[in-house]
Amino acid sequence: MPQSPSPIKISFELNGITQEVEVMPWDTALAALRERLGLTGVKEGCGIGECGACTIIVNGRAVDSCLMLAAQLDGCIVETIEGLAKDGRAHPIQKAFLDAGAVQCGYCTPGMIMSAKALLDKHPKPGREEIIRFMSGNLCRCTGYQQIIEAVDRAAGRDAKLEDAEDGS
Amino acid sequence: MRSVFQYVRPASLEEAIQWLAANASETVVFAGGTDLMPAMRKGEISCSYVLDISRLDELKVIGLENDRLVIGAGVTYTDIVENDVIREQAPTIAAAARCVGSEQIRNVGTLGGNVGNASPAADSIPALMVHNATVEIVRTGVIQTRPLAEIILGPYHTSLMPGDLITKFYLEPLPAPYRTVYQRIGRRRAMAISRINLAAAVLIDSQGAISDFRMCIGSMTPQPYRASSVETMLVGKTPNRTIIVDAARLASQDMIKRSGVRSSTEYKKPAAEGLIIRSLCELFAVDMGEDEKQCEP
Repeated sequence: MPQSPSPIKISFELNGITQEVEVMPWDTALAALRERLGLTGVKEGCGIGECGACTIIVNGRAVDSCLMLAAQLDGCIVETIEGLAKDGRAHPIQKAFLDAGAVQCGYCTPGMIMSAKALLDKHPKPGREEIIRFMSGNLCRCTGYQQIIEAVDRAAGRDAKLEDAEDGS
Repeated sequence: MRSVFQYVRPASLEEAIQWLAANASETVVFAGGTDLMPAMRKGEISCSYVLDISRLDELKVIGLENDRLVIGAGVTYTDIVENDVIREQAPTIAAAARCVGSEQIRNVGTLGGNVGNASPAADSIPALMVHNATVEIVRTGVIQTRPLAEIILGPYHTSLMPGDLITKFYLEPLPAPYRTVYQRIGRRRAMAISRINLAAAVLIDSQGAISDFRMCIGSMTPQPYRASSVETMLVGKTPNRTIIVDAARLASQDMIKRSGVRSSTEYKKPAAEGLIIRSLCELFAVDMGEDEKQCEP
């Protein structure tokens, strides 16, 4: 007879800090991050991998945290929206979303920004088609997407400008 | 109510096989999780153990081996899209992988999972069928290789037994000068599952005649439909619009014979014919004609 399920201790790097937490075998990564670690920037939209509101980055790749078991995070490098702002300053992608007016109700925004980060980490200068294609797993019911695409576009340009400024200073 | 189970992550393929030998009937194999997680959310998975094979390096191989292209069952769609050997030797597999779900889904969903789940909408299956794929299946002490066509019995129904683990796929490479195509009809481009999908490959000889042709249509018939009657009809012919239209009619009649006339047939017959005409015109570089151009997405 199988033993009754018991909590699992997992350890992973969360936004640059090693994190240990006990989870139940059936907990989703989303539930562990939100409910056990209090990272409420990770949103549950559909819960079945259709909307992308729960997007996080695991080992450099964007994933729907609702489609992952928490136990799968063990040993991984995990990035969430909470890790983006540094010293009280918004990340360039966050800034670009504000500047482009890419936020209305805001519920999809953390997932959108994490998808955008996964894209820009991989391809710093994506074309418009590439942005649309890459972001197509994230649904927004307010903005009509144009401002979001523009925000990612701006973030791509802004990164370059920041780098230039840093080089020049 | 969410499904309740214990989580098991084997450190090696050997460990996974041993686990299944002892606990097959109580265990669900978890690869990418993109189909299992929604089912677990609804409490539809009743098992004592979930065996997470997503980290097994043995299942992530990609390469040429004795004139066969080997793709591990744990290879994700993103791995496929980014792999040069697959892009060269099996561009239709790469094209099918690009159509799957979203970036988030492609990053975790696996080829083995797509076949094991046997969704009628599976994007990879028609592409694998065009490559005459065989499937390596391992269970305690036994390794067998079976044609993919024998694995898929119907929607969500395979000939796999509890304890069977899909480990690899062996494909006939179809590099250039083979030309390949993969197309699908979905309700929208991103995320939507395939309503009908099609993979095909052709080799044209120096005289301009078809010397090899393979076509498989998914989501229309209970089992993926390799259009052998059309394949036979086209070999030796020089591609033109008339034979493409004939091929589309023959394939759609053949599929209706297999699936029976259903409420969806009225939609699916012309849709499938249109998809075949559009795909084969692209494949053979034949001008499509005005009627079909109007139907372009």
